[in-house]
Amino acid sequence: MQKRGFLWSLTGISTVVGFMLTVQISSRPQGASAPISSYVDLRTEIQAQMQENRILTDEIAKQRAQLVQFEAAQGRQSDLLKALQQDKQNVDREAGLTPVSGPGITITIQFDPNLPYYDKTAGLFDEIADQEIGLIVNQLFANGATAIAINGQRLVTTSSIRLVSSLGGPASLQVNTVPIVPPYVINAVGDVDRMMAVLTLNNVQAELATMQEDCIITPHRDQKGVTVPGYVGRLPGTWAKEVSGS
Amino acid sequence: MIWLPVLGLILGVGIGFAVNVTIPVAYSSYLSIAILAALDTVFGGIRASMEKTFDGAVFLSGFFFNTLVAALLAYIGVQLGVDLYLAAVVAFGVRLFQNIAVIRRIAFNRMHTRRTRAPEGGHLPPADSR
Repeated sequence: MQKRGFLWSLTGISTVVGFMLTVQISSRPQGASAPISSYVDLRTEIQAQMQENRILTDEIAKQRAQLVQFEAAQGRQSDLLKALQQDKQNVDREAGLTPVSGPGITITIQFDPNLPYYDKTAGLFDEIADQEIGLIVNQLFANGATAIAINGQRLVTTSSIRLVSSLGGPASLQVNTVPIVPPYVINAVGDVDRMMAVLTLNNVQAELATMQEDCIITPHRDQKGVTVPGYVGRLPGTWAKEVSGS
Repeated sequence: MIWLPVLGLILGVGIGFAVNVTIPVAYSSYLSIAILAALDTVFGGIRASMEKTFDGAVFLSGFFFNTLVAALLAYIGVQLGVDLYLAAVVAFGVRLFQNIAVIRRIAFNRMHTRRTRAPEGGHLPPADSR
């Protein structure tokens, strides 16, 4: 009789324990071992991944198109040569070796003595012209510019904007190691609205005005608005040659 | 009959999944302590039954009382900022292992007794052959 009572009690208690266990397991948050630091971090991560995915997808599409082109030209020397030349043109264009034109903006920076004089900042541009122009160029590249030239010098991946000065003498701005003189004219082909927006947002004109530098930004929305010349300087492979047999 | 508690456990799990009740994560730790207390009571009951000292009223009251007090202790600990639930975890944990050890020993003793008895009975010659 005692054993029977024990069994029934134990059965009832087991049922309750089973229920409690299930509730506990169901209530435990899933994936708690890898906590997400914050929603913002996750969102940023997703956006970065999507951007990377988009770039890689574009790259795959380009490579496939090239593969199709090469396959189609297989066995025919003239077609293959044409395909290779086309490929070279594409590479040249991507590398900035060919002139391009299209909608864009022109920024002209020049000294204007009629602008208000501020003791602290007047004349400062001559000392930081490379930084200021470098900043503008970076902002444009980050906001829709596809090709930029400063005073006719096309900016490519190996380009440099440097302020070179002799001891005590005047400084000279060099782009691609070529000296340039004011007025500095920046031609940029790309998304006009985005480029104008970033320049407005960063108060470029007002900032340069404090240094008595007049900054004129002119949008060219028509198809032949701005022409940016191709890069004509030395290429990275001019001096450095691949070592054969290594 | 021995399978009834196992069936009960399965039934409880089934009910849990069927009703799909969840509790807030904040209260999850209280339920954990309550489950530990419940398991301690269950093993205590099995031990008592094997030692022939089982009392149904003590068992049932112990189950509910221990479960509630354990959860309450954890709650008070949270309110005071002291990890009081650790006391419950240690106390119930130690008791749980003690009970399991005693159950194991009793089970081994019973098995040993059966083994020692069986061969003696098996070799005994029939009464009419003596």
